[in-house]
Amino acid sequence: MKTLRWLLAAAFAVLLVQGGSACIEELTLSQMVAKTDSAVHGTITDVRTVKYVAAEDDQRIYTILTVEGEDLYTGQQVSVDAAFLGGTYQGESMTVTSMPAPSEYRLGNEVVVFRGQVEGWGPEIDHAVYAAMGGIFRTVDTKKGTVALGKGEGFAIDANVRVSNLKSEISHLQEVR
Amino acid sequence: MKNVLRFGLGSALLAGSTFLAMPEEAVGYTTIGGNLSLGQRDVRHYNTFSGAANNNTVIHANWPQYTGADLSMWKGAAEWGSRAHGDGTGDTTQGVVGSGEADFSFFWNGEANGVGGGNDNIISAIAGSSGGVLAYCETPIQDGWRIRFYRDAWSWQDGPGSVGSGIDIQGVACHELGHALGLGHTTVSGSTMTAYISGTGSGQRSIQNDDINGVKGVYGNRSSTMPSISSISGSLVPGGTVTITGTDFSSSTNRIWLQSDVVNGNGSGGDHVVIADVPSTGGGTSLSFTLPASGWQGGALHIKSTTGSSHGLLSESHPFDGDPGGSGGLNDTINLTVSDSTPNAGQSITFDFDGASPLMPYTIVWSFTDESPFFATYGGVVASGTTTSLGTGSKSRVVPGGAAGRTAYMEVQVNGPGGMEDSNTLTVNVN
Repeated sequence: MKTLRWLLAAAFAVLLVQGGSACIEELTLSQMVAKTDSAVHGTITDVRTVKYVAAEDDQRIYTILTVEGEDLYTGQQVSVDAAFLGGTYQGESMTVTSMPAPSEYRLGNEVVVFRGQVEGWGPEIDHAVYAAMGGIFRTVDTKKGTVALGKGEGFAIDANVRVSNLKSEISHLQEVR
Repeated sequence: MKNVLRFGLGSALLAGSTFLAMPEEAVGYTTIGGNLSLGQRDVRHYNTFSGAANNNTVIHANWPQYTGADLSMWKGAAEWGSRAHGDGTGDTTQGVVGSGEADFSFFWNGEANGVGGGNDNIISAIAGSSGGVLAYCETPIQDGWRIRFYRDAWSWQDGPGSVGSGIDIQGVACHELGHALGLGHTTVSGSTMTAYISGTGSGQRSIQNDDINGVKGVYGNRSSTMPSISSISGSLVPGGTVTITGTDFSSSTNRIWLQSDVVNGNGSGGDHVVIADVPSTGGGTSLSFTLPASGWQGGALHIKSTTGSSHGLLSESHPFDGDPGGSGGLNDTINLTVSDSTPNAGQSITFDFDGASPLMPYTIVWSFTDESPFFATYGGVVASGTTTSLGTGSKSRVVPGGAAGRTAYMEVQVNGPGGMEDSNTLTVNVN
């Protein structure tokens, strides 16, 4: 068990070191739930980018993730899209400090993604990965269940937590609301 | 167990390789790679904030000629400076502004009139939904950066004192400029470079030990021979003689860095004005130079002790209340633009301005004195009126026929609640 704990800690450390840079608001899980309309635990089945020209001198590249799995807010199986600013489109890159680390959004990754509605991100995007790097969390399978890897102080999931416990906590928060 | 082991070994390998690659200090601050050369130290702001985000009209002597969101950005940049900016005062939430102690200072170059490209070193706002992000910095930084604030998604505040609600522009600016200079996030609680802000974010205005270690890690500890400015005196108008006292000036190759009066949205507007090869006296403790007739504006000033690219050659920033518009000595807090700066006689041109006190009487004055910088006494009133509730104004006027081939100098003057306010001087070359 000590080994498992160490391994999870190591993975957590990797995420901290590789995590993107953003300026986001401090978010408790309660605040995150209040500001989002879904949290999907599942597999990233598609990663694509789009270019959106918001104004003449203001071109943006967004990365859109498709996540298939369980919506922890409703318990339903879903396939949803969620986007964040930044990415590479047809050889042109836009790298911003709010992006998650590339290791977090690779195709096939198991994740929990919190989604919030957005406007003005172009015709293909209506939901964001809320708080960008602050709204996506890797999950890993362990002997005692699937664990979402926390990102430390200030993040909605600050410490490693079993996804089943996370779902219960979210359910409780929804009841309180 | 197999899955756990497989994952575990993978993670361990990954972690191991990461730890091997990490610098010793990764326990606290992190870096994003690269640094800003001396040619990339400029910071400008394209100001489209309004309301509580841009309503500070209090001018502080240590931060001349800027108020509102501009001033918040300037202070956020100056906090990373190698030494205190001026006497360090002007922010009641921290003892001294200018705490970096490294071979690094940003160069505040005033306003821009566009968001610029990804490498133009301009801070600006971005409209639309934020998706939960307050602001971001575009990287990599080696050739410059761009910072965007999600203006409409948050209740931004420009201070200047402690911010009780909403989000503090200065604190977030200080954080984002930390990225611009090369820092990533830290895990040390209370630091400016934590990934998230606590409360209003005003606590992030003041960089902490881990942040200071970070900027030192990227640029090195402050050089013992870095020039330092203790005072600026003299006639701070075009043609005036300025005397600067301080330490570690070179004997004959000092460069004075002044803010450029070019207000555009691309890289050239970020270039500083250089007065080269200024000799010093008193063993490198005093120097004097003559201010150019045009091309510069007041705000901040630095000294670079000689040619070269070493980070330690550039001094900290110092307030410089120069007035390129003439001997009026006002504060140039209003931003005046014209629709065509090279019109024909008889053509209608439109003057627009913002940044004035709201609902106050104003006059747009001009002079056709070809050589003398503008000063109201010598000019004529082009237009007058009352500023809007947003502190803006707009007037169209026909260029007089007699102005053909001449240069006109324009300025807006507003009789504000705290005294006379004025704008930058606008130069119009009539065909």
